[in-house]
Amino acid sequence: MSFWKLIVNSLRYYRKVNLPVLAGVALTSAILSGALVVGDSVKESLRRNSADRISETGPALVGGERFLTDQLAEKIQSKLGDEHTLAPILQIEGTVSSRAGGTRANQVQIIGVDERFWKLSNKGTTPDKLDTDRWMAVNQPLADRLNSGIDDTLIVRVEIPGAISKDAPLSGESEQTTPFTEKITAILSTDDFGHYSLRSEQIPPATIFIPIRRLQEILELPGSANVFLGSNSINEADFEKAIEADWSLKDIALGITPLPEGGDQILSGRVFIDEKVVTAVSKISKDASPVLTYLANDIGTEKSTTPYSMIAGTGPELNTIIGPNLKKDEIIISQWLAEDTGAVIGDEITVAYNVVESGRKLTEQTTKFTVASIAPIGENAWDQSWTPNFPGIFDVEDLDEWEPGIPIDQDKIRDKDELFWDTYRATPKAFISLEASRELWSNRFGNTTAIRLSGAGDDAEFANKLRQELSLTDLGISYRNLAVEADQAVANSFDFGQLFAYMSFFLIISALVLAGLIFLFGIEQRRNQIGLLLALGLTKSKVRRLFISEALLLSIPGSLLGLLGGYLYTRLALGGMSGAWKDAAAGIQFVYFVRPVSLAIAIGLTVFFTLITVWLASRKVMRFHPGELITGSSDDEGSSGIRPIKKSKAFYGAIVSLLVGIGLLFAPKDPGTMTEQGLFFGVGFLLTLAGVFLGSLIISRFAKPTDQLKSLGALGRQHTVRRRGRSLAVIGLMASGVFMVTAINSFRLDGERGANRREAGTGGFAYVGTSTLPIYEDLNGDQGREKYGLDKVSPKEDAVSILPFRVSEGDDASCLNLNRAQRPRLMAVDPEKIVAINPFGFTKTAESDDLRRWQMLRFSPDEEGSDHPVIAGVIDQNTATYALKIGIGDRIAYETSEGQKFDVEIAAFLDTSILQGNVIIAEDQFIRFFPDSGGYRVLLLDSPEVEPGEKVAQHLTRMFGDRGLEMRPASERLNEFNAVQNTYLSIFSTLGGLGVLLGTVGLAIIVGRNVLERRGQLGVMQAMGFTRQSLAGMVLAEHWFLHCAGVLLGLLAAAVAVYPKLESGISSVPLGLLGGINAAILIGGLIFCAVAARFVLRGNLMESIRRE
Amino acid sequence: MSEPILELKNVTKWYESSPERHILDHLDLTVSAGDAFAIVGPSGCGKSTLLNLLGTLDAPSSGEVIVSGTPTGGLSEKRISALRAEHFGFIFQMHHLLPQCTALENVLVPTLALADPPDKKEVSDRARDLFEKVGLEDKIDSRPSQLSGGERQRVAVIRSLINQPKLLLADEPTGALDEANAENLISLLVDLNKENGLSLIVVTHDHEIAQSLGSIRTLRNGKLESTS
Repeated sequence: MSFWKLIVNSLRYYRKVNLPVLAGVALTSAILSGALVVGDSVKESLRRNSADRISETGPALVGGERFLTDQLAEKIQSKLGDEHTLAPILQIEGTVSSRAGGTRANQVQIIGVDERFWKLSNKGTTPDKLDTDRWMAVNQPLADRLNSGIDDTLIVRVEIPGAISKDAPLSGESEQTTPFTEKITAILSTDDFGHYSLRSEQIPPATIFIPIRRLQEILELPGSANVFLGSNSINEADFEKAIEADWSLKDIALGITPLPEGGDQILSGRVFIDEKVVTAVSKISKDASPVLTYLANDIGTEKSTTPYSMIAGTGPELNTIIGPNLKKDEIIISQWLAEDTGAVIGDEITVAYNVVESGRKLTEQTTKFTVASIAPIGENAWDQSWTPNFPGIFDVEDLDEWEPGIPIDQDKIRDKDELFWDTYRATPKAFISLEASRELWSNRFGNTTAIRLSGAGDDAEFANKLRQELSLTDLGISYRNLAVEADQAVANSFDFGQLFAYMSFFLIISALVLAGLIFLFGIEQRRNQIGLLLALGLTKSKVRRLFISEALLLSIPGSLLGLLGGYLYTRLALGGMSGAWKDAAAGIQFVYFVRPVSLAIAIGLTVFFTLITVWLASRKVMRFHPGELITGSSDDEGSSGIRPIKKSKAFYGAIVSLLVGIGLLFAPKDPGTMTEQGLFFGVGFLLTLAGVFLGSLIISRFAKPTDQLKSLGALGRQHTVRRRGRSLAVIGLMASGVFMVTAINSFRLDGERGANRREAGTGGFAYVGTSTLPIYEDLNGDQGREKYGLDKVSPKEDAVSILPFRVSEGDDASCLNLNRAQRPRLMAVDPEKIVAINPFGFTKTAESDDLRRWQMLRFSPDEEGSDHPVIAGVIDQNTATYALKIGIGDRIAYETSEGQKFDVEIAAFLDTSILQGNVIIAEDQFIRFFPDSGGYRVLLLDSPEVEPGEKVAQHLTRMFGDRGLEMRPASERLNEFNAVQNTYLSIFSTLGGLGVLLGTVGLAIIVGRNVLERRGQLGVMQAMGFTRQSLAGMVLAEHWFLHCAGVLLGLLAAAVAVYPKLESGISSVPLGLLGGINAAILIGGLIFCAVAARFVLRGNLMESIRRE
Repeated sequence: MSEPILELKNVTKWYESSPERHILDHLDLTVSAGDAFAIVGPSGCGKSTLLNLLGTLDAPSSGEVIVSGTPTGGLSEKRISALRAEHFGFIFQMHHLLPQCTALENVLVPTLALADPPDKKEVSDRARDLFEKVGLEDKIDSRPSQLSGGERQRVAVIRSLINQPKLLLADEPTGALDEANAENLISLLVDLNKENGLSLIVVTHDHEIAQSLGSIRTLRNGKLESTS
C-alpha cells in the first residue's frame, strides 16, 4: 500500500463525486483559457490589422505640411540600391462625394502614388488597371461609405496647400477648395495596401489613390511629395543618414537668387523663413543680413495717406539704403512716397498695418516714425527684390486683383497707386530698421522674409554647408519607423484578455465555488475516513495532502478538458464582438489565435485555484478532532440557542454594517474615480453584510421553541438553523451575485440624459462639428457671421455661439481606438472662452479657487529639470487611466512643427465627454508650438434653445460642406463613446449573469446535500405518513426561502447603492435587461432547487433509516 | 518494573459549551504492558471521551497524558500523530474501512503514518499472517462491500494491529455485530492480550464482554472505579 495507491483508489471509488468536480474544474479552465485566448485573438487581429495598415513599410519620412521633392526620393533610392524600395507619396485630406448617389464622405485620405508604392504592398505588385496614366482607386471602407463601385464617378474636394498657413498674415485667400472628378478604376483590398494609414488606429481610413503626378498637378505642387515610405528591408539609421546627406534647398522650400547689385538673397517658398534656418545661415555666413518686409495698410502724414504699401525692415549690412545710424523710430521713405504724402525729413509718419490674431481676426495697429531720409526708387538697389512672393500679391497684373488674405478697400486705390504697381510692382515704399520691423510684424510663422548674403555660391554648395548646421527634423519633418510604431501600438493595446478574465470573474468564482462545494461535500462524506486516518497517526497535513493530491490529479485532466470549452468561449466572445458587442471593438476583423503560453497560464491558474479551493474546503473538516469525525459528532453545526435580539452579535453587526453603508453612500467622492467605485462597492458589500446579519437573526428565530408546528413549510425553514453557516452563505452569495449584476449596470451611460447640463459629457453643447479641412474664420465675430450668413440664420438674440478647437495630427486615444495611441491628438482651445462657459465635468482638478477646472490650462508646470518647455494639459480620465496609463502630473512628450521637443503635463482629468481621446491645451501654446497648423477642425455649437441650434448646425453643414464639416448632435457623439462602456457592461452582465446562474446550480447541490444528510429523518417522516410530495414541499420551503432572500437582498442593496447615480440623471438602468437576468436567476434557482429535491428524494427513504 | 505505556495524571475534561460540567474529574490511570480491562458506565458518562484522551485523539482540559514516558501536553500535532501511529491501535464501533480499498489495502493504511516506512514485504507478510489468524485469508482482496459485518470488523482489528501497537483501544467494538460475531471478536482480542502481551482497553456497555476481559473499571461522575 502506498500513498499514491490510496489516492488512485479514492479517485476511482469516488468517481461519481469526482465527475462534477472535474466538470467544475473544466468550466473554470474553459473560462480562463477562453478569456485569455480572446486577448490573444484580439491582439493578433490588431497585429494583422496593423500589418495591413503598413504592409511592407519600415522607416518613413513624414513632412506634414512641408513638401519635399521627389528627386530627393530618387537620390536616396539610388543610394540604397534596387533591393530596397522608397516610395514618395503625396498625402492630404479631402472630402469625396458620389456623383450618382449623392452620398458624401469626410476626412478621406487623398493619396498620390506611383508604382513604387505598390511594391510596399503585401502583394508587391501594381494592382490591375492601375498601370495607366489616369486611374483612381478607392479602398473598401470608402466604397462602402459612398455605396459606390467600379466606374462610379466621384467628386473629390481638396484644399490647395498654401505657401504658408492660412492663419498667417498675407497668406492669400482662405477656404479655396479645388474639386476634381474621376471614375473609380479599382477597389483595393488590404493586400493591395488599401488600408494604408500613418495613424495607429484599427479603423481603416477611407482612402482614394490617384497617380502622384495628377495630384501634384491638382495641388499645383509639381515634383512634390510629403511622405517617403521606405521598405522594411531598409535600416532605419541608413535611411535617415542618406536623407540627411542629400536633401537640397528645394526640399526645405529655400531658393538662392542672385541680386542685381551683387550678392545673393535667400527666399523661402513659405514666405517666412524658419528661425532655425536664419540661425543656421547666420552661422555659415557671418555677413548674413535678414530682411522682414510687410504690407502696410496706410502710410501717411496729416496731409495725405498712401494705401497698401510694402515696408522693408533690414540692417545696414549689405545695402546702402539704410545707414548704420538708423534708429528704431525712424523711417527712410522713397521719393515717390514723400511726394505722395508731402512728407519731408523730420516729419512724423504714421504707419497702419494689420496683425492677425487667432481665427484670422484682424486688428489694425498704427506706429509713428520720423522720416530720417528720402531716397529715389531704383537707386542703391531699392527695388522689388526686397519683397517676398506674398501669395495673391506678387504675381497679379493690377492692384485691384490683389488677394492678400486681408480685406482690401478698393476705393482707397488711386490711379497713381495703379501706376506705381505698373512701374515698381511690390517694391517697398519705405525702409525701417530690422529691429523695428521685427517688433511690429514678427509672428508665429517667422520674423524673416529674406536673408541677404555677400555670396552664397551655388545651390548645391550652399545646401552642403546648411546640412552641417541643420537637420530636416529641425523643420518639423519627422523620421518614423512605422513597423516599430505598429508593434508598440499593438503590444500596448487594450488587453481584451484581461478584460474578459475580469468580466468572467463571477463565472470563474461560480465554477470554482461549484467545484469546491462538490469537493467539500465529497470530503464531508468521508469525514469518518479522515477521522480514522488521523486516529491511525497520519498527520493533518498528510491527510490534507491526500485530498489535495486527489484534487491535483482531478484538476489536470479537468483543465485540459476545459480547453475545449475555452475554444467555444473564445469563438462565442469573438462572435459577440463582431455582432452584438461590436461597439467594443469597431473596425476589427477577428481571427482566432492562441498562444500556447495562454493555455499554460489558464491550466496553471485553474490548478492553482482548484487547489486553493480544496485546501480551504478541507480546512473546515480538519478543524475537528479525529474522534468527532469518526463518531459523526462534528456533523451538526447545531444551534447556539436563541439569544435575545439585543444580546445577539448579528444584531449589532447588522446595525453597524447598515450605518456605515449608509454613511458611505452619502460620503463625498470624486465622480468617476477609483475611490468612487470603491465606495460604491463598499456600500454594496456593507448593505449585503447587513442583510446577511439580519438573515442570521431571522433564521435564529426559526429555532425558537413553539408549542405547535404551523406547517411543513415552517418545519422546513427551521432546518435552515441546522446549517446556519451554509444557509447564510447561500443568502450572501446569491445577494452578492445579484448585487453585482444589477448594480454594475448603473454605470451605463446615456448621452442624452441631462445633455444640456454644463457638467454633462456633452458639456451642454448642442452640436459638435468636425471638419476635414480647417475653418479659419472666427464664426462668433461679426465678420465671420456676416461672411457665412450666420447673422441671418441666427440673430444675435438667439445667442448661438461656437467654441472652436484647433487639432493637431495624432492618434485617437479614445476607447474607440484599441491600439495604444503613439501620439495622442492635441486639441487647443482659447482658455478665456472655455473658462467663461465652464463646460464638462472634471473628476480631478486642483482645489484652489483661482486655478481649477479649465483654468488649469493656464497652469505653469515646473520646468526645472526639463531641458524643454512644459505646458499644462487636460485629458479625460478614462483615456489617461486605461489607454495611456498616466496620471495627474505625468507628462506626454511631443514635438513642435519645428522639431523642438515639449511636454504636456496632465493637470486635470475630465469625466467622460465628447472630448475623449484628446489632450486639451491652451490655444496660445498650440500656436506657439504648431505655427504652421492653421484653422479649426472641431467646433462645439452652444445653443440654449433647440431650434436655433439646429438651424445653425444645418446652415454650417451647408456652408462648409466643401470643407467636410459635419455637425452632429453632441449627445450622439457622446453615445459613441458611451457605447463602448455600455458594451463592456453588457458583456459583464451576460457573463456575470451566467455566473450567478451557475451559482444557482451550486444552490441545487446544497439542496441535494442537505437532503442527503437527513434522508434518515425524511424516511422517519415518510414512516409517519408524510407523502414524498409533501416532504419535497418541506425541503423546497427551506431552500426557496434562502434563494429568494438572497435575490431580494441583492436587489435591495443594488437599489440603494445606485440610487444616487440614478438621481444624478447621468446613468440609465436597462430595466428590461436587468429584469430578464434577475428573473432568470430567480426562476433558475427555484427550478434547480426543485429538480435537486426531486432527484435526491427518489428511492427508498425507509432504507435510509436502517442505514442510520 | 517496566515503564507504563500510558499514564493519565489528574486529568479533567470539560467542554466549552458547559464548563461547569466535568466529564472527567481529576482522573488518574496507568496502563502497563499486558494490562487488559474494560471501561463501563452509563450512557453519556464520558467513556468515549476518556478513550479519545487515552488515544491522544483529544486533549485534556487540565492534567497530563503521558505516552511511554512522553508527556503529550505541548507536543506538536505531528509528534502526537507519530506517537499514536507507533503506540496505539484503534477499533471503533463502526469499522470505518475505506470503501475504495481492498481489505489488505485497508489494513496497510496505518503503515503510511509511520515516520520510518517499514519494509513493504515484511508488513505485507505480517498482514497476511493476521488475516490467516482471524480466518480471513481468502478475503484479502475483497472490498468492504463484499464482506459481512463481522468480517469487516475483523479487518478493522487487523488494521489496528498492523503497526504492532503496544496498546489497543476499542470503543464499543461489538456494537454493530451480532452475538456470534461479537463473541468471536472479543475472544480474538483476549487471545491477542494473552498471547502477545498486547495491552487492551475496551469501552463497552456490555457486561458480559467486560467480564471476559477479566478486569472492569466503571466511569462514574468523572472518576474511574475498579469493580473487579
